[in-house]
Amino acid sequence: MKRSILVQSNPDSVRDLRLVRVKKAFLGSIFFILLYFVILYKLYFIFNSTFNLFLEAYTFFSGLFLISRLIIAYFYDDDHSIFISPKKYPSVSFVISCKNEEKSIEKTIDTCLESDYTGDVECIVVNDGSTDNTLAAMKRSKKKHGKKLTIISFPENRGKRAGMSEGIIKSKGEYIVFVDSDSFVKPDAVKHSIDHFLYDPKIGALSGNSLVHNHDTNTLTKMQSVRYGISYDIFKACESVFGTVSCCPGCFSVYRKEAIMKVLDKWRNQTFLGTRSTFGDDRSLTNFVLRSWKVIYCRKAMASTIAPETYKVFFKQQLRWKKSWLREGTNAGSFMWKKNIIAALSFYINLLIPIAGPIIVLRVFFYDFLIKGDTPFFFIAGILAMSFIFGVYYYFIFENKHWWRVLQFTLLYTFVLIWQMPYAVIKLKDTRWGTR
Amino acid sequence: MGNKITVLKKTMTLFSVITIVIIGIWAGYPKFERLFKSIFVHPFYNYTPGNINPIVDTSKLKPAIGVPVLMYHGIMKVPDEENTTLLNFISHMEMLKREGYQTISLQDFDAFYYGDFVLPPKPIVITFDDGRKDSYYPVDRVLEKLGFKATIFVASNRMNRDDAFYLTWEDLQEMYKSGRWDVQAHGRDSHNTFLAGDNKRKGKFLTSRIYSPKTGLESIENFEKRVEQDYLNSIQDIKSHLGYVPAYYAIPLNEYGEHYTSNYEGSAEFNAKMIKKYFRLAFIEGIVGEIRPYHLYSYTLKNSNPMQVVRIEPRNLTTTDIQKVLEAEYPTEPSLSLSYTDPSSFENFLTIENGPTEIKADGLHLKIVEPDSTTVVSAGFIYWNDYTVETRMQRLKGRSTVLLARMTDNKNFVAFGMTDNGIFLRERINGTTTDLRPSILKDSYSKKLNTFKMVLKGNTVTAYFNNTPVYKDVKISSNKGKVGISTWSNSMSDILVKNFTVHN
Repeated sequence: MKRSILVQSNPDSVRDLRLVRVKKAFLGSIFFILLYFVILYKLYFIFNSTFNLFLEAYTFFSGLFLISRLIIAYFYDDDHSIFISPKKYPSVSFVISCKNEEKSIEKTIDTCLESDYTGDVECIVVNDGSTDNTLAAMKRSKKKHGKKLTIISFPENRGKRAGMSEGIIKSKGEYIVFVDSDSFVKPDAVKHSIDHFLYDPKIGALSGNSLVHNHDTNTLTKMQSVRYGISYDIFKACESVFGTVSCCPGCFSVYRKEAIMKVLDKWRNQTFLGTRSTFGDDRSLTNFVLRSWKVIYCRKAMASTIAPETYKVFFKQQLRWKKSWLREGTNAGSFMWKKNIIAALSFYINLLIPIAGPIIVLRVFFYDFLIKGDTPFFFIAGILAMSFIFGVYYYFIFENKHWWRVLQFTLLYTFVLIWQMPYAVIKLKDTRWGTR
Repeated sequence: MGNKITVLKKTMTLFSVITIVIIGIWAGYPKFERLFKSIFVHPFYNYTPGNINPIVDTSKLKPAIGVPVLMYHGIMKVPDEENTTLLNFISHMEMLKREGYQTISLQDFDAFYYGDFVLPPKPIVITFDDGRKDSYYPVDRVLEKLGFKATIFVASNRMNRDDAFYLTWEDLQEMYKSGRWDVQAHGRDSHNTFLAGDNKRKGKFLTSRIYSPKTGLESIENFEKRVEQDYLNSIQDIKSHLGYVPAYYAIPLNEYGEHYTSNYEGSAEFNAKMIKKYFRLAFIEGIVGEIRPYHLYSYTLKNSNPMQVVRIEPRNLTTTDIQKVLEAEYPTEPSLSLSYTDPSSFENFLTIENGPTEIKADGLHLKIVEPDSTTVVSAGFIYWNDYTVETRMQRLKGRSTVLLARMTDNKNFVAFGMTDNGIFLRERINGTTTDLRPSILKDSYSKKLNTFKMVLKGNTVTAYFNNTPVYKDVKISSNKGKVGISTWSNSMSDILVKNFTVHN
């Protein structure tokens, strides 16, 4: 297993190994102490707060949701030990749809086609009306890879969904691997993924584990590397336990072609509130597949993707994600109750928390603090303690040296990003991408 | 996901971790809660006293002869109509401290009322009703820093059902242990109301019989059983959680049937009997904010009714308003000296109850301009009991000159005076006047300057006319009240008052 990127140190000597062990023991004890106090405080709050059912309910459900994540994620097991003759591996088609990605597209194509996979591999790239030299870059790749690479080129921009659908239709493989033009798949990722599909025929889609490629560039990307890590290794892992992963991100995910073909038209022509859905293609496709298939997450199937490096781009991306989260959340809500009861409950609680969040923050920081004069010390201490707990938990799964930046990210979320949610509700019908 | 053996293993590990955590929480929670309250809730308001330098030297003052009682509900940050804001509460307390007030416990109050306890010059009792959290958390530090004590009357069903708005029994134990707080009874379920009639009329627990559409009104026997049980429950709750029998009671909803109609007339008498049976002192809300019933006096003296101790509920009154009430009514031994030589004395010490009056160089004139009316002036306090009251007055025009004593309102007083029909001594009780003795005809004095004097002692009065005793040791039923002068006539009158004095 290669963890070369992000791993803090390769413990060479016994002394280093011991240091790491001491560090882990220390963090582990802080983890349990904090968890203990957080639970005590939540109980204290619920028993002692006076007549505020809304706040009590929020405390109870958010606490239940977050702590249950730790427990459920513990049961996540990336187990797909299966022995199949290397020659019997099914054929796989990579589909990459992109616009104006001349810098990274060649590298992306290379990493895909150079995968350690014994079955047939092909790659279909869709040039979605690029105005730069993307097409030329694709043609250079074509020379290098020959018939393994198919190029589809739209003279003008038709949107990502159109590009992807075109790619799917042209593909010959039994499995479709979606890769973003700025993501790079690890050589063994495809094999790990396909093993899962072969192991359990009910699986219709699989989310790979996307790491942040430019994780050392600046504070923002460092924070994002932890945010990605936690949302994959804890939250997606939890969903995966019940086979109900609600989003297989476009940067790297694998679908059974059979599962896609049945829903392809519906997905391509999806509308929401009377307007045609443009962004959120990944979440939307996962939802269509999730109705009748299991969707899981594979931790070992790694890829790395380039995260936004400036706050402007980052905020636009976050807003887009929130909008698609709102849209697909409501869609998924219509069938999630048919799935596992714990998965369904988690799903609905998770849907309500970010919506109630801004109200709570308004109350704590404006009403309680500015009007009544109560210092929000315990509120801030509480969210920091909770994010520390998640940071340490994640660090135990994956040694990301930036793990503690989850604290920074939580503050950024509480004070800035949370306000995107009400804005996203208002702007739900605005279907422009805003970036890229 | 995964094979069964790993799942089993993980379940076992998780189970042990959860067990440890649950045991840890079960063992640690009470300690944590106490710790948390001590660091977080106790200095909920972290009080630093403002200006509390005494401006009154109490060491030279005589012991007081009466006690005022303050009553609060919650102390809150946001103002509302029934409670007091923290800032107002602090200003009330700091005013008391500056003015030299000293809080006394109800045990001291009891010892004063029933025994020989010598009161400090400016005693005060601070009480809180119901047992709310906001009667304690924001208040305790203030009391602590100012060296004050308080009593909290708890409606114990709130503690029994762990209502988060109210204090817990653990809180109350802690309060009692601190020595600053006394916990006393306020009923258990007696704040409840229920259906008391078929027209959806609501009744109060202590004053009404329960109505049920099927079985009708509760029997008197059941009513009495239920009501007495609540007094006993209230005592039992405090006894079992705090280890002592409460002797003082704040009357729930300020009402046990004596003022308002309920569906059972006997409730007032029954409750009065029960309160007397189980408690030594019982408290009512008397003076609420700016509402001040005429018949209520804000201090409790030895001759006040111990089963209806009047309390002042300041709510959000300004400190000046509270101070005014406390100072204006500060009880003193009966003493008054008004004379025409200092006409302003009439102005300062007399209250005009009815009719036109005028102060001239020769003295005070009581006039009647509308036939068949009464003109009345009063002075002193309704708690005055034994005293000698004397006046020199002359009938210039009109029909009567009357000296009043033991006046509690315009329906209750003792009157000694003179009309065309001679000298009389009468007592008016609840609006009904009776002659205590037959009138004596002394018409020749009727237009002269005469001296009227009454010596009141216990339930007797001796009346003097021009320093000659005319009625001796006459039995009366009142035992306290103000003094006054009145005149009645069916024609225009003018009565001149030269002197008006009261002494022991």
